[in-house]
Amino acid sequence: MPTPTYISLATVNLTTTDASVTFSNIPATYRDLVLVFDGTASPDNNGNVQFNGDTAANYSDIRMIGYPTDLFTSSAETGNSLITGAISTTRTNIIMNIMDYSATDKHKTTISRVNNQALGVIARVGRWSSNSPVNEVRFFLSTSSMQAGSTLTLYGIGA
Amino acid sequence: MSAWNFIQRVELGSSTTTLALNNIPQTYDDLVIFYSTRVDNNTGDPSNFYFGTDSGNNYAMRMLFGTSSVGSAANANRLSQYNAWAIWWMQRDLSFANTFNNVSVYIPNYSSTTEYKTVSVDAVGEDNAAGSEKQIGAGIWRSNSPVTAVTVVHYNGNFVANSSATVYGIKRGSSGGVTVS
Repeated sequence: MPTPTYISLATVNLTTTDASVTFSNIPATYRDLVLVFDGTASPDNNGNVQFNGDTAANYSDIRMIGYPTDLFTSSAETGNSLITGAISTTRTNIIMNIMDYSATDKHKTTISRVNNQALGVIARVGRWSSNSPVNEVRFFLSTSSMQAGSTLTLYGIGA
Repeated sequence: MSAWNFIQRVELGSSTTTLALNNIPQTYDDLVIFYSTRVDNNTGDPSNFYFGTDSGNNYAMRMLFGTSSVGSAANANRLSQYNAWAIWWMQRDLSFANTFNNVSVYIPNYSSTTEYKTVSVDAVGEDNAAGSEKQIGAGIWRSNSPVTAVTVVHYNGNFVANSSATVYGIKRGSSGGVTVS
C-alpha cells in the first residue's frame, strides 16, 4: 500500500459562535499545509490568518477579485495578517495552501481562494516574512464571529 | 491514514450529453472532482453541473475569468451573479485536436444534512490556436440535502469520447498531536 501523503491534522465543527480558531503544535514532518474553511459569519467580515502568534506587519499579499459589479486587482499590500476575504451569512469556503511551511531557510508563501457567491470570488497570493517553520496557524475575524456550523480543517501534505 | 480517498472514475466510451457521477458514498466530509472534457461543437456554450436530481432554481455562481487570443492582450472579466438551475463553467471552443478542458471542483461538507453546499471551481481551456480561458468560480447550492450524485450537462452539444470525471472523498480527522483552541 502506498504511503499516505494527504493527512488531516485537526478539524473543528463550531457548535457556537467563535471569532478565532488556532491550530497549535503543528509537526514539521510534512511539506505543505492546506487550511479549509466552510461556513458563515455575522456580520460580514474578512477572515485573517497569522502564523506562530506573529502579530507584527510581516505579512503581504496581492489579490484579484470578481465582485458583483466590478473587478479589482491590488498591488502588494503589507499588514499584520494575511487577509483571506469576506465571509458573510452566505456560506463561504476558503482554501489556503501554505507551501514549504516547515522550511527554515525561506519565507512562507500562500495561495488562497475565497468563494463567496454573494460577495465575490477571490484569488490571493501571500507571504509571511519569516524563515521560522510554521507551528501554529490562527484563523480569525477581527470584528465578527464565525457562526455555529462552520468548519475548519488543517491538512498536511507529505513530500 | 490518508485523508484523500479515491471514490470512482467515469470515462466516456462515446459521445453523450451527460457525464454523471452517481451513488457517491456519504462516508467522507469533502469532495474533490476533476474533469477532463471536450465537446463536439465550437459555440463556447457552458457546461452545467447539478447535484442529485435538483433541476430547480437553487444554484448561483459568481465567476472571474480571463481570456486571450493569439496575438491579443489578455482580457479579464467577471460574471454577475448567475442564478440558474445549475453551477457552470464556460466550455472553451476547442478547434485544436486532442485538447480537453481541465476543471477541478471542491465541495466542502458535501454530506451535510444541515447546511447549504459551497463550491469552488477552477477551469481552464487552451487550444494552442485560437486562444485560452481561465476561470475561477464561487458557487452555492441552496439545499441542505447531501450530495449523492453530480451530473454535468453541456448546454448545446455532447461530451466526446474520453471525456472523464474522477471523484475523491476527503475525510477529516486528527493526527500528529495538533491541537485546536
